[in-house]
Amino acid sequence: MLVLAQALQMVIQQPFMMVLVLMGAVIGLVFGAIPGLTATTGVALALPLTFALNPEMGMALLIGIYVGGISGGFIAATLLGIPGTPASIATCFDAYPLSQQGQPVKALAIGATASFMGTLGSTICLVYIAPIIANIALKLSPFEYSTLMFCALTLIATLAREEPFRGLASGFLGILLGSIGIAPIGSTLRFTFGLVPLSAGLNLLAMILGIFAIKQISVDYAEDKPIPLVDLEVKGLGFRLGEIVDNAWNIVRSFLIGLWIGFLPGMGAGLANLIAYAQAKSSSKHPEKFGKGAPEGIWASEVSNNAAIGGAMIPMLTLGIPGDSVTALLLGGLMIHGLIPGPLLYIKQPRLVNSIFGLLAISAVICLVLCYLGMRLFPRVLTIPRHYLYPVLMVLSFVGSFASNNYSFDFWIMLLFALVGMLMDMAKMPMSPMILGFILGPMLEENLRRALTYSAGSWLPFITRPVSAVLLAIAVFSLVNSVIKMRRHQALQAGKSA
Amino acid sequence: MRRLLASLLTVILILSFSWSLVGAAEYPSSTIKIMVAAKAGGATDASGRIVAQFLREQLGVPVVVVNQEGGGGAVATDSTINAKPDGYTLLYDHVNAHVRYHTGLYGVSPLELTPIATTAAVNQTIATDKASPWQTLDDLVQDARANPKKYAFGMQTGASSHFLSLALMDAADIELRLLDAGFEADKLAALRGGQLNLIQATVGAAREYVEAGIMRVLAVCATERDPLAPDFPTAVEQGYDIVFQSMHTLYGPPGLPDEIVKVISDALAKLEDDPEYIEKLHKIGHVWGYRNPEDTKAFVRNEFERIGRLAEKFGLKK
Repeated sequence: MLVLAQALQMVIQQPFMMVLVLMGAVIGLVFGAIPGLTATTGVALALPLTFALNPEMGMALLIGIYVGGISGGFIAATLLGIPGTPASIATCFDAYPLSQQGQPVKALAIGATASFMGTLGSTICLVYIAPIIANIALKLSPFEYSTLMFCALTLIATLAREEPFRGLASGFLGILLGSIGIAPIGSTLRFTFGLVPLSAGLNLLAMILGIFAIKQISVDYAEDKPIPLVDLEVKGLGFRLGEIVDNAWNIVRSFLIGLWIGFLPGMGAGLANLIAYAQAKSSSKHPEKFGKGAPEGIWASEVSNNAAIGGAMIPMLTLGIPGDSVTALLLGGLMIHGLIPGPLLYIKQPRLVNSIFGLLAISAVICLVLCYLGMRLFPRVLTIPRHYLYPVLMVLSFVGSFASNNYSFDFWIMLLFALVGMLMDMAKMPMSPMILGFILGPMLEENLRRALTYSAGSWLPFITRPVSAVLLAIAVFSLVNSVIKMRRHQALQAGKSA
Repeated sequence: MRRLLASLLTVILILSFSWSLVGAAEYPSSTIKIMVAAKAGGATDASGRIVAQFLREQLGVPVVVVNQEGGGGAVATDSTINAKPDGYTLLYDHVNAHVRYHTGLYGVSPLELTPIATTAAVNQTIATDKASPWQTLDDLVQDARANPKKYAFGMQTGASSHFLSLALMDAADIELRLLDAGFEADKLAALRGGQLNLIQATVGAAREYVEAGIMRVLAVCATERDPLAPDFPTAVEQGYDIVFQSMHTLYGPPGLPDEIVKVISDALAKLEDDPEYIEKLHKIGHVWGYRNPEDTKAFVRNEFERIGRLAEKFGLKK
């Protein structure tokens, strides 16, 4: 633990750096908690400010925002049922029902603790095993990437277990929507209907804001749901310590999923939480409780999205390859100072690398403390009369959908998906398969087509390459397993009704 | 009384509008937006921000960067084309503008825009793994001529790196396997992993990797050596006419008046003597590359035709 201890000491000894990281974490938590404003938005806005600071101080602010932004997402997800950021989509599924059942404090406490575990754990991995993992990455080719994506895509079947037809329809709808825009390889325009804005594809954030925020607000307001009675008392940790033990395997699994997905270039916390959630549901003894306030789901989602932070930092620091959209910005923040992350960064800038390690760990602690301090305060949001709360959220959603691309076309995407969300609710189609399909579809296509150009059109390497073959076997197993469980579930339902 | 007040307010309102019209005559008088056709954090964005910062100091009005990376820059171009030609909406783009048009991703030709100035250049290199037997560009060309379609060049389909590989094949008369390998950083990984034999890398990135002892630069695709890496030989001095720079160019909407073009262009021209500006560009791997409006116009037209010819020859023209 020597390296990490030194790194921590280095950060703590610099008061200005501590102030910056604290400021960053507060800004990050606020950005994370407000629907529509994400860690990426926060870091992008703060990036120009850091040009005037030295690289270490700049990183202090940005890393604070990054960790805060990913951590803060669970607050809105828990209290409003609206993911604060795409990193917390899956958190909504169980944290919101739990808080509606009058236990917002418990849900928040789990979110805060899980976030902390994810960040700290992944930082430790970053410090000690980054070069090892980075070397594994070099060995992976598009073949492995595409089978991995395929593997992840089979999780749609898990998410769709209760309603196979509707769930799969939703998943395929997501894949179809994901194909709008410029085709990944070959650069052909697809489904753009001659509209220039559509060549950019649909904006994920605008879509999520539509499906969750605008839809939720409109439906709640129309139904005039009563304000739930909430238990605001915080006792100890907010949840039983035994729960960590009960969820030990769930936490470890979600952590590894988050670390790995964060680490793969181009993916990040936004995908990690959905995959970890689907896995947790798939291996749970009580999958039927998922979506109705199961703490397991919150653990899975929140541990994995924060684990993706350390994961994404690994390729960025060791190879100069950003693991997600935020690390791409951090890379920019270093580049403007003439620092090019890559194999030389560790040798040339040991101080900077060390302070990044320390800053990540400190940010994790700061976020945990801030979340617990706010625990009595946050749930009061639930007691604000809807006619005050909702207009504010509405405005923030519009701001958020605009801010990610600086493009007003995204308003229409958001409003359209609010409608799509309502129709899907009426048809009892689950949302999660659609979002997973939307994110994974283009990634699978890109890597599959890239792999096929590498092999000049031959499909054989998918089976002959060992890692790829193993991943395919897992995918097949996961599909078969899902079908069996689906059948069993239907038989059970049929038995009940008979 | 109330009617009088209402008419008075109306008059004031109209006056205030005309006042702003009078104000507009003296350009610049309010915030200038630079639409950057790349996402925040990348090299293009960094260079756009540096230009914005120094323009602000020169012009005395806020200059802000707006990132619109959507559609590979099509969205940013569209925003500029549809903007009022008042000098308050500008576009920051490079060779991708031509690639986008010739491959059919965006239907309006970049020649419609008003060229203002080129600002900074990024030199591109053709690089290979340190373990490769090729020492010079000629080694590669001889080997590739003997083994057509054997060696893999990592590029991103429909992006500038794609056209760089075409320029190489065109000038050296060789056939390579062009494999899509994503963005620069991904390509580096694939080169290291042995899935690719050749990649395009910016001088800035290549310098780091050469120093780390894992990469060899065969040629810089420019007429002159890059001041940031004077050791790297150019393709031209090795006898191959491959010139392929990412020349960052500032455009205005169609029909931007000459007076406004001159104000911006003159402000940029002054930066040549500003050591701080040059140092900032060098830090992100860019070099000074200013051209006045006439030269920029000629340059843009020339690039446009060059990319168009390559697109046609290799069947990418849409």
